[in-house]
Amino acid sequence: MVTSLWILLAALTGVAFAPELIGLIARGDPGALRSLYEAVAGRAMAIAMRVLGSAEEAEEVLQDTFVEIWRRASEYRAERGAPAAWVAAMVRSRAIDRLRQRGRADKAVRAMASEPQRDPDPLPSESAARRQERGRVRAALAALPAEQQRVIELAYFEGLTQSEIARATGDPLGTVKTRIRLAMEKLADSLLETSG
Amino acid sequence: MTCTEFKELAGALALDALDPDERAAARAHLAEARHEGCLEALERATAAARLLSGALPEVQPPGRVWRRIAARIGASVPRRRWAVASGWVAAAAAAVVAVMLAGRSARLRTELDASRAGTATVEGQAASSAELLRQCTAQLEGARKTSGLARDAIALLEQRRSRVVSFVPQGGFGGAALAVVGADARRAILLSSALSPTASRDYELWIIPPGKGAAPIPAGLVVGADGIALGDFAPSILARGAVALAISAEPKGGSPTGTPTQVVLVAALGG
Repeated sequence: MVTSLWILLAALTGVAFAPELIGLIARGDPGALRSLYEAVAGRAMAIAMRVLGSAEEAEEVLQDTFVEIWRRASEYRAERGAPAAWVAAMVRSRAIDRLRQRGRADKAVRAMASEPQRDPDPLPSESAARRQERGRVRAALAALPAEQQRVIELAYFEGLTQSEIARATGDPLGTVKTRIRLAMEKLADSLLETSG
Repeated sequence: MTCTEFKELAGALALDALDPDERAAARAHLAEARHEGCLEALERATAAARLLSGALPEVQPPGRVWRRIAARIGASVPRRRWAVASGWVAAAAAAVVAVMLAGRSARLRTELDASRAGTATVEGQAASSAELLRQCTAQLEGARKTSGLARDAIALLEQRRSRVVSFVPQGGFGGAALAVVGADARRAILLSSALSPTASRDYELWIIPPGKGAAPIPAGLVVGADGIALGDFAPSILARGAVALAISAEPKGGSPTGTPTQVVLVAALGG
């Protein structure tokens, strides 16, 4: 009963994203985990699919991540970011681990051979806030020089290390390092300044 | 590795793009006692990296993913997600009117049963339960601003025998609201997405005491921001007894007369 009431409260107020939700998960409330899942699964699935390029593997990563959250929710620290970003970081990390298990050669070849992946169309149900957030991050990425965009793409979404990016692109390692450093500084300036 | 060298690598470390030897060296540097801005640089880069996932359009996973998670954590899969179905709140409010006109208890379970029976089509129309939650992300900042009261509401919900009552719109008012009421009815907290104060309008809380013809007692103003509204019905007044709660629309600052100007929502405290 309490769980159901909490979910009702969350639906009306949006506090599902508040750290209290993670606290309930840590205390073993499966309804709270479900509430978190429904709030962030779309974003988590998107990052897993983007990294892995496979819906089947992305689903497995999502399952593993939420089971891990169930077991380790008490380790969440609100000051390190919103739960949605925390979950996305966990999903990406697991997806990249899986990608690296496939073999670095496979990754480098795939990254070099492929054009940047086309993202799926936004869901019709996408909220205005989510659309705004997506637009803001995309604008920050688009403001980077093309070569800096590419290294961020390869590092963040393809899971390549700096050396692997250098091999995949044919650029000197030092150049790749500089591009990543400059790109991350610019992204931090634009994203963190506007995220309040 | 020096602090200067570390700071140059912080972005790549946040992206998990360092090669194993560099990553190990960076982690070893972090473990050192003294730094010149290393932790701040990593924190900033990590915060930026975490936002990058926001660039992607969401992809809804199929239902089997949650079912498998639920199986692995030993949770039952809910038969129906009544609580967060899009459009549910409005439909439930309509159902609650019927329930209350019939003189029935305002207990949540009863209301839900009634609303389920009357809103099967609404459930069919609901795009997904995640949709409503996503819409609420826009309201997150407002919720944070009133997080103290939200925390109180959640704590109240976690108390045994606490309950939720729904407000019935009056005079064609288009909003909905709930109040979490403590087991001893000495605390009641309003929750709504439709009652945020504006530059020229406040919403005022009222407690209707027992007794035929008893006048409503002002019990505070609704607070909120960005679409989130909460209200704490004055506990000292609630403690004297109440048969109902009400919300009125008022000029800025509250009722100028001591009586409600325009009652927009009422909830009976039955049961």
